[in-house]
Amino acid sequence: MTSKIISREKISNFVDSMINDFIVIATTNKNNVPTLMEISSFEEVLFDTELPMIPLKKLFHPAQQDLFKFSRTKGITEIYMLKTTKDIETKVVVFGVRPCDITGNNVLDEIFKENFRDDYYLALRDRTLIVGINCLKPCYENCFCESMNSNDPKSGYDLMFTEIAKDQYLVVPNTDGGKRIMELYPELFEDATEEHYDKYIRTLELKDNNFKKDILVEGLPSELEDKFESKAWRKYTKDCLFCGSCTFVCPTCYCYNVKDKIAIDLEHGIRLREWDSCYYPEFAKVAGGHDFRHEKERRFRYRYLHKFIDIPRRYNVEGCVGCGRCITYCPADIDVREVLEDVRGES
Amino acid sequence: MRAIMAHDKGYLAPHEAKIIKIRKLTETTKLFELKFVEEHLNPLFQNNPGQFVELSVYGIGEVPISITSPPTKRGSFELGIRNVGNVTSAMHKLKKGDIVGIRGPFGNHFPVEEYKGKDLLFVTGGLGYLPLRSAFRYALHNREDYGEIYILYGDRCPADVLFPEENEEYEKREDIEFHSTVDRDDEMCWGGNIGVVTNLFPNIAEKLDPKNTVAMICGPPIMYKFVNIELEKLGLDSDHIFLSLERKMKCGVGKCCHCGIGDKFVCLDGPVFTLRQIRTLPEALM
Repeated sequence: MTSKIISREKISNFVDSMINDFIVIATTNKNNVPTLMEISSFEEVLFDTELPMIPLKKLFHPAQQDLFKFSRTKGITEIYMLKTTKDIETKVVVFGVRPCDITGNNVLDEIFKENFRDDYYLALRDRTLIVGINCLKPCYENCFCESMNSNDPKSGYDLMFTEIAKDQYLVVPNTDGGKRIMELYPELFEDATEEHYDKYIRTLELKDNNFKKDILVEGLPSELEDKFESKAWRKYTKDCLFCGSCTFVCPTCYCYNVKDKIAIDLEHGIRLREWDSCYYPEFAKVAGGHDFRHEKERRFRYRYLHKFIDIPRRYNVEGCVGCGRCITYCPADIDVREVLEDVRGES
Repeated sequence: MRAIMAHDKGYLAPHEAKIIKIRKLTETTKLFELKFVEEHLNPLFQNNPGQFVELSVYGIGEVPISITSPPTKRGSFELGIRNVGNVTSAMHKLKKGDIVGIRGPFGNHFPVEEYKGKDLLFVTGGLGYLPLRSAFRYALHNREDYGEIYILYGDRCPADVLFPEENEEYEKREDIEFHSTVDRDDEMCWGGNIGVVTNLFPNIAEKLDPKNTVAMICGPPIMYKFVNIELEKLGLDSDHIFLSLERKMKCGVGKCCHCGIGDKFVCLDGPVFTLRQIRTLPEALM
């Protein structure tokens, strides 16, 4: 059996060993915000904490990324793309990623590979190994991953830890990369027996019972299409501050803007891309002043329809993973589940 | 047609191009002829009618601009640019020999090549003339491949009229039916039709064979609303009406999400859509 057993105690040795061989990223406490960042010891890891505020996407699609240096009169003088490619000699391991975030990142993988490959994203993504930790019950009240079918990803991770008994974990490799990590530290793992495997199956059955569906996504796209003119959109538009927080914390939001930053000599500068938000007034506005999504209500509605109609139809994946971050971090207390329920309930 | 892109540089890095000619079209619009600095790229650049490039004025930014020259122009290409925003106003300050950045060509195209043997109806309003010029110049270059060719052009005022000398030539030609109009003529210098572009339809209504005609239109959203009504009145099928949509576009390849309409990206799945497609896309003609 390629799956192995590890004790809770040894997980700290496992992470500390990996720190010697890889760049290890995990959720840590930064100014009281659960944050994904590089760690130098297992002690920094918030092991049982739910979700980092900003999901995995920031590692592959940074909030701000320099693309190239230019001179106004000569054009491009230095490409940062090459630098990134050279930097990837060292592999990165992200430790402790939850199933919903793995699923969310699978959505981005799909989007950034469609038609044209986004080399910036994929160069960073391809050097990264992901070690997941299975959720056995909903991690908090805003979680609705079960509704979005994101709780049991089949790919997008290299190792998955599942707690099959108190302080005992079954480690299941999902890729060659995952197997190779385990082979690096054989002394930390025990072979799994039939008995361990039975416990694993029972644990997964328990997990199934612990999760319930809050909302039904079956048929949701066509239903929302029919509710395009629903009054409920207006109701929530009034509450929304259009701050964009929900888009920044969302694992499947990826839109970006491209900008030039000019140096004080007014000759040299850097072109960069940075996260944008479809909730911002400039998002669909073109030169000359025409705004293709001028009314706030249309901007509010667009994001919902993009998540629940457009992404599933275009990429054949759910556009929302039910992590609940948009609920947690919304300053106006807007709950995506309530919005959908209201829109659907209206005749 | 494949976009020229150097993957080792990343797809958001443009290629340097030199302005080789600038021609003033109107008070606010100039025609720029461009050539890539790396000589080997010039024969590789092949645009189809209706496609666009991302134009960089380094230090200011990057914007999508449709290609005005037809595919038959090789070795260099033309962009007609109106001074309306930050990048376009910076572009208007540049001189012959100055360097800009180009990515592309991007997007699908007007199916001029695909509808050989058909009658073609081009309808354009204002700046929509510039991308559509690429399509009708291409059709005129291969005139013998098509049946009737109709061009209807409306603009705001005589001073805004684009390529008047080319229009005059179309008016004289026996094998094209060209009609133009302006919304108003305050200086009383026009001498032609006054009114919106839909006023020109009676000129062609009798002759046009709706079953054998493909319409390609480009103009502001408001024009589409009225032109579509006219075209359907004439009996054209919504599958044979092609419209080009304008949107904000940052990447050109369906990643930045600014041009999303429903499950389509204007930069990748468009900018040219059939009227039938557009009817299924929420807010496409807003």
